[in-house]
Amino acid sequence: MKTVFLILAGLLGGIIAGLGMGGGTLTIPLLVVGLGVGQLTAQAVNLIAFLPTGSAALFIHTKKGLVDFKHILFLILPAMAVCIGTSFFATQTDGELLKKIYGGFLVMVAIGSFFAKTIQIRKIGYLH
Amino acid sequence: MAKAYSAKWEQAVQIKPKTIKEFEEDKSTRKFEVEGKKSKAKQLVLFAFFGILIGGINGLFGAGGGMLAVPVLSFVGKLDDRRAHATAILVMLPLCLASTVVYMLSNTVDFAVLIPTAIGVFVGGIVGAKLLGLLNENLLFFVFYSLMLIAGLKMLY
Repeated sequence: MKTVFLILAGLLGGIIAGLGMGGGTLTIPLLVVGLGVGQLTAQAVNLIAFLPTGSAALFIHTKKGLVDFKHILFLILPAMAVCIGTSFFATQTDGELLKKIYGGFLVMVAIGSFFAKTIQIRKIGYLH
Repeated sequence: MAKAYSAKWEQAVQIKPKTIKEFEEDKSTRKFEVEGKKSKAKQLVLFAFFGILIGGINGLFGAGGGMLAVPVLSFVGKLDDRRAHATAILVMLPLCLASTVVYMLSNTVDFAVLIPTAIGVFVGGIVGAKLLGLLNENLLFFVFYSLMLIAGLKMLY
């Protein structure tokens, strides 16, 4: 039964990712809050689950000529260096603490997005 | 002799305004080049700065880097919406690969959870891509960020 719920959680996260809204961000709380998976395990699962889906999407987008390679290494290389460091930090941290930091991050992103949307509506005067 | 002299003179007169014009053009293109170099340098610095942020978040949380990469690519990289989303995947893939190696080394991977979730994400990704543009964007925005807010509060307390 748990397997079915795991598939459903992945499905929901995947749909949102396919819509381009950041599905991984939602897959993790679905696993942690909804299904009681440990925070670190959920993070690792989310990372690995992205690899095949992301590779397929990247292949299709590259074929359509939608991927811009200009100067992209200036973004990727510093990101890689820091990413390896913070990954190490995350694996050494207590899962409960990480869960709380992640919760705070989600609340901040959600409030920030609602705020940005309000500004956008005020600027153009309508919802589109 | 006189004829040859005047022909030379005419040539000189003709050349003169041309060279001034060329000089002006040259100056303006050079100015443009300098400005272009400046904005390019600014873009690269901003790329590096946000790269650090994206990598930091993605390593720490195992997610969320893409949400930042898309606006960075569209505002700093000046890409349109579709290109920004496509290029964000190119940025995220190596990051997730590097993180995966680190997470795997510390034995945090549970295959009983991973395999069903990964299957769900793969199928869901295809479904989501097909649904793109068919759903009400504002409703989607509201539902997604409300869910995120509730999930965040639940994780905090």
